[in-house]
Amino acid sequence: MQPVLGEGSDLSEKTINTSIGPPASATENWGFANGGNIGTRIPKLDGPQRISGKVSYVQDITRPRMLHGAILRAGVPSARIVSIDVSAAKLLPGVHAVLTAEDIPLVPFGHGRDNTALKQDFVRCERDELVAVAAEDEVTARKALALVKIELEEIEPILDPFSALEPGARQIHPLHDGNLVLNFDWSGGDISAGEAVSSLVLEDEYHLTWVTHCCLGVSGIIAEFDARGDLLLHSLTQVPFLYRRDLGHIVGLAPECIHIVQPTIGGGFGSKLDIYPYEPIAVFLAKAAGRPVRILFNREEEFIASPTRQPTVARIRAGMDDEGALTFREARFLHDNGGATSWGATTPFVMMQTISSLYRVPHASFHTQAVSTNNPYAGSFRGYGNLQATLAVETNLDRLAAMAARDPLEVRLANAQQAGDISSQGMVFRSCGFKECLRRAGELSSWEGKRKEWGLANPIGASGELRRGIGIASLLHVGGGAKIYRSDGCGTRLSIDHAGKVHLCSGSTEIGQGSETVLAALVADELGVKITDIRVTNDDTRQTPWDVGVHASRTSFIAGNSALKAARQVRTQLLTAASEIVGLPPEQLTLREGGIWDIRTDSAILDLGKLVRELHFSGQHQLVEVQVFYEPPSDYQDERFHGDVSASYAWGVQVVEVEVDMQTGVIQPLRVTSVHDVGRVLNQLGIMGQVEGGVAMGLGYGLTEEMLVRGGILANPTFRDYHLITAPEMPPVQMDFIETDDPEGPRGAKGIGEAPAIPTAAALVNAVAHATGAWINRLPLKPETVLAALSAEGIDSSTLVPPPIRNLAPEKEFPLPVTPSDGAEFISEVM
Amino acid sequence: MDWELGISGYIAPATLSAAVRYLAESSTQEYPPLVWAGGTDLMPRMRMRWLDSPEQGGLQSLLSLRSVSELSGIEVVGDMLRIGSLTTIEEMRRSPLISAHAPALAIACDLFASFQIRHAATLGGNLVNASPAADTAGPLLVHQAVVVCAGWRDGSVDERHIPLAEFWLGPGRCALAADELLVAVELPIFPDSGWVAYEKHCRRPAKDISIVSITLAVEPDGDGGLCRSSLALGAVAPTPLLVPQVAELLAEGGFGSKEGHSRASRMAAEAASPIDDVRGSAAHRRHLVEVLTHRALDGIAARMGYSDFNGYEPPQRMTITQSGSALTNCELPPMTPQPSAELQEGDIEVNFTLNGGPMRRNIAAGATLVALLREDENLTGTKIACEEGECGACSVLLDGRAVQSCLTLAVECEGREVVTVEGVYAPDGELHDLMEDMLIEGGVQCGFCSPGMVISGLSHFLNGGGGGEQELARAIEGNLCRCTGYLRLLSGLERHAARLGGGVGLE
Repeated sequence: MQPVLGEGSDLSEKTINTSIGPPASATENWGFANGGNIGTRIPKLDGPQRISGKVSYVQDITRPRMLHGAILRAGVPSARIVSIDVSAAKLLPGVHAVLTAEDIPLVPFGHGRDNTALKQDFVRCERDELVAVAAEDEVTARKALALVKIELEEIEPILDPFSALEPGARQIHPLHDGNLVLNFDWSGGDISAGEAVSSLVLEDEYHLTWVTHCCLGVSGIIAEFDARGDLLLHSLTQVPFLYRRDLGHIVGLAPECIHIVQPTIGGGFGSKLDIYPYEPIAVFLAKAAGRPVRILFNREEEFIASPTRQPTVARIRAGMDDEGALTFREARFLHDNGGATSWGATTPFVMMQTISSLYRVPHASFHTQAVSTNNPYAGSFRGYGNLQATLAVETNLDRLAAMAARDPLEVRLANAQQAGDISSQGMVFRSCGFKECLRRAGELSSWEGKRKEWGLANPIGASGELRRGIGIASLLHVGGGAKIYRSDGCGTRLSIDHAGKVHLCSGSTEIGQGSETVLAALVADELGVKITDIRVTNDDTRQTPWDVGVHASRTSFIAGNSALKAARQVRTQLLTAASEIVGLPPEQLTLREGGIWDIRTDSAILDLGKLVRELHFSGQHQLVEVQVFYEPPSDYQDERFHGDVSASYAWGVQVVEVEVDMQTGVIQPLRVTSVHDVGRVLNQLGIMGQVEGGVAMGLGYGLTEEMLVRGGILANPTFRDYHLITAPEMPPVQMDFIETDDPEGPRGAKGIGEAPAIPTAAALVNAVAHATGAWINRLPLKPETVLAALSAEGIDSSTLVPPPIRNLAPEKEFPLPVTPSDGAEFISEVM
Repeated sequence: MDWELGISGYIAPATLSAAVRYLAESSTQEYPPLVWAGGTDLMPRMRMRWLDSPEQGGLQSLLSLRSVSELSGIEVVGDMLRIGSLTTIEEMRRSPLISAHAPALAIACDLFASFQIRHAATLGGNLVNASPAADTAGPLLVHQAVVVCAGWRDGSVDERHIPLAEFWLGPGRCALAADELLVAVELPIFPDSGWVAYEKHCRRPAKDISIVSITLAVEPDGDGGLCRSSLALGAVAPTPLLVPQVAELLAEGGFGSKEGHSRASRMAAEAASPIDDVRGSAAHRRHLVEVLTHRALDGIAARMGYSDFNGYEPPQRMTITQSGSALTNCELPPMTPQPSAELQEGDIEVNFTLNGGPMRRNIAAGATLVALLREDENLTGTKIACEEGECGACSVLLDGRAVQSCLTLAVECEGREVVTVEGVYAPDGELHDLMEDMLIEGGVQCGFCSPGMVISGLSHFLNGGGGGEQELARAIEGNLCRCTGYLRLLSGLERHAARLGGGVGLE
């Protein structure tokens, strides 16, 4: 269990590079034949296509006779729909279809079955879709929408979950029980027993708002029917097989009649996990117009009508004993569910894993309520609730440490999970490099020295107006898939053609994260072929075998294991066949450099293409092709949220260093250290990109990103006013990886996709607290927020006792937990 | 999409007199002509107007200034510096004359938006747009600029001079008459002994609209006192704001003492009348004015040797200097002069070089370059991701400079050379070295931003940019990426800089 990177590295480097230097050229590295790809810097196999602009995103695809669809949205958060008059729009030349809710079957969909493609009777949030048109071109479609006359009777919107839960509050959606949409209740142990042995107890509340994915490629879809009535969709879904089933239900087609082709996807991050109304709308338009229809969002629409991260008010109470051990943790989260229910409502599944299991906590409980409002609704977003839960757990823990006059890193080490632990939710930590991550992050960031030298009491620079701080936060996330469906598996079809080239067909989609490259590398190493001799198909449901989808950081692990399983079968098939042909025992043969080699003479004896041709044409008449399905050895959670839901768990630790201007509130991140237990590094370049990209997203969450939803209306639906981190703002990131060689992982690897985004904001808040003495309980830490916190009473650098958390939100009575939980119902539903 | 921007005709006069004459003849129409310079402010505004109500909107002719040579150039005339209104921000940023004689302006141009915007946006456009947050406003105010406006009166070009302090009337409104053009800005040469302090206070180094901006100029009298000082504030009032009462206080002995600086800073904060908006609250802005004014005063006093401020250095992003920026060793290669065009209605013929070959098409005057590239030429490597000049995905090279094709009218490319990502490859037809360097360092994930990144990188190296870390980060400041966190991209650019052998550094 050794860190693989960073030994003796210069810490001033932007990233710690590996002992294997960068190859002289991209293609040189792609030429490795003898296996040996895994663990090196492998440039993206599809990189040349992408960087030269030769791939086709949905924006770049047109179909013969394609029409352009556009959607008219409510633009108000809450109203009764009095009338919709589309007569003028229908008459506009060039318009081929105009649809309202009256024209389509209103099959409810979404996790809460409370959404429809077009809305009837009521508007429940700004984005609500009222009218759709298809026209010869986009200009005509927009003009047609401008001709629609809509009469809305506005209703006073309900804009926060507290108000929505008040007795007598207007019920927003008739389907639900009042405005309570979902509640989750989990309890492990006995909170009062934990309290009884606590010497310190601390309760904090956090207010975390909406942020959104901001995929550079905006949402879009092309729908068309063939003469048999089969539907061809160019869709950006991350979950093509589930999507086919669910969409089929909405539009009245059997799943097998839906053929999904995924164009190159311009960023996913979880945004393409659910079905959103524009997708069935495109299908209905194509049906009505009898021609292919493309709907393409513009950026404003993408901000308003694509999913968000789940906003939450998180209240957490935890205790510590005299030895610095955690005694209990009790968490209650209140979720603004917005005007409809998408995957955001189910983020408590992941949140509670962090509450229950990030550290050894003998007694813990977690209660969540998701409440209807007239605000935007949340979907899944990289981390799936874990950024919010981690922020609450990790800042609350820092504050407990401060009360106990203990070092935050020491407290974490003392409470960390270890290999062999089974958490109170039944998660089995077969491999666990958590403590190594903590120690390594401490070393790399020079934690000890900076904790002493920096802080509120030590002004930096000539002006005396700056302080520096260093903060830490950890993460636990699924690293081997997450079994929330009947299967968490993935299929692979692998063949070798008569020229000896390898065709890898995986159910798992490439969304930019580099799965195509990792899967090809796993197969190339197993078959001893060049990675460039592998062609990957992963974008067409007529060809690819089933997969549950790209989510839960599962692709490298699940699709990787599936590809590996297929490659091993092909390897056996090849060696067995070769053995018969060359008359040597199979154990004396191996696959190398695109051929069969004799191990004893260390020489090539048969070209792969030739071997396959032999199998095709002489005697055996065989194809070299296998199909396999890999199902991870994980379990459902039961109705009490107990179960070993992932085949492996990923751990990580980040340290953030900041400089704070005490007079302007401006925070300058100086450096981020990110250390992860990844089981095994598969592709150094890929993993660096995942870590740095995750850190940038986490920093955005912590520092700059915020959907300003005012009165239910998004006030900043542009990149001008919604601030993604840009290149000059990005601090250096140093990283290291702890290789725990997971017993189930492909070549020992675990998932890493979501992990690096999870703890950044929490570490940032802790760093700012170290610098200023103020723990701030709402994100983002924009200068104004920081200044408001600094000007509050009670900051005193002379004492270690933390001041009250800077609660910058109005005090509200927190709702009591509701039982029984909806979790069991959810589980049975997705099965 | 092919925006129908309500453009009925297009004219690109060759001379100032022809331009103002056309304006005079047509400015009484219900919809007077739209004067087009860089287009970086106008294009997003017109698009929003169209999206809000695609049916409405009268037809305007578009008066392009592209061929009016009298509007270009930076020169010293006597003791004045004259800057043509069509000068782009990037040209000003690199101008040795501006750096030497108007240092605050040079700094502001350095911190102006992104390369793509700076390559297109003009000085005249920035002033006429009349935003209270205009980046060049504060520096020009403290540099005592006068704007030169021209109209067609009594059969000839008639110029009038308006002190910049009287030029703005409110948000989006200025004293330029409907039949006038802004010709140039003139400002007295700033003394070598003078000091300026400038801070554009916003989240990012340059790309944002400022929350508050502050410019302070101090001219010492050589005897430990001041001959003149001037403080200007941005984004805290309906127009960019000069605060003469602070100058008076400083002149009366307030400069150089902590107490005087505190009073001056409070006075500046009181002079501000900010509003709440998505970028910040009024109270926060007022607080920032006080803090930043104090820092500017303290910082300049420290540089001038006032003992109360020994060793003081303002934190964060305030620049204090006598000599502008150090970018002046690297002027931009000139752009191709563009031919004039008579008034045309309907579709307009446009000719330019596209990826090395001739491109000729008849297009609507309101058609964007990106629409022409993607829809007519099927060059889909140029991406659309925001249509407001914020993301850089649609970047192309225009005469070797990166610009955003969503903000560029296709007709305005007449006679120029456009290169898209499809025109970027190695001499052997293989992957271009820059692309290869970016791939080797892992700079591509979903790939949507990648072509734009390549164009920005190329523009940087083509125009004398070097391999410094900060410099490279700023080279792609105008390009958003959601996947990589930029560091792999920057490693790729560093690798390319090393391959090129350093290049000419900007820092």
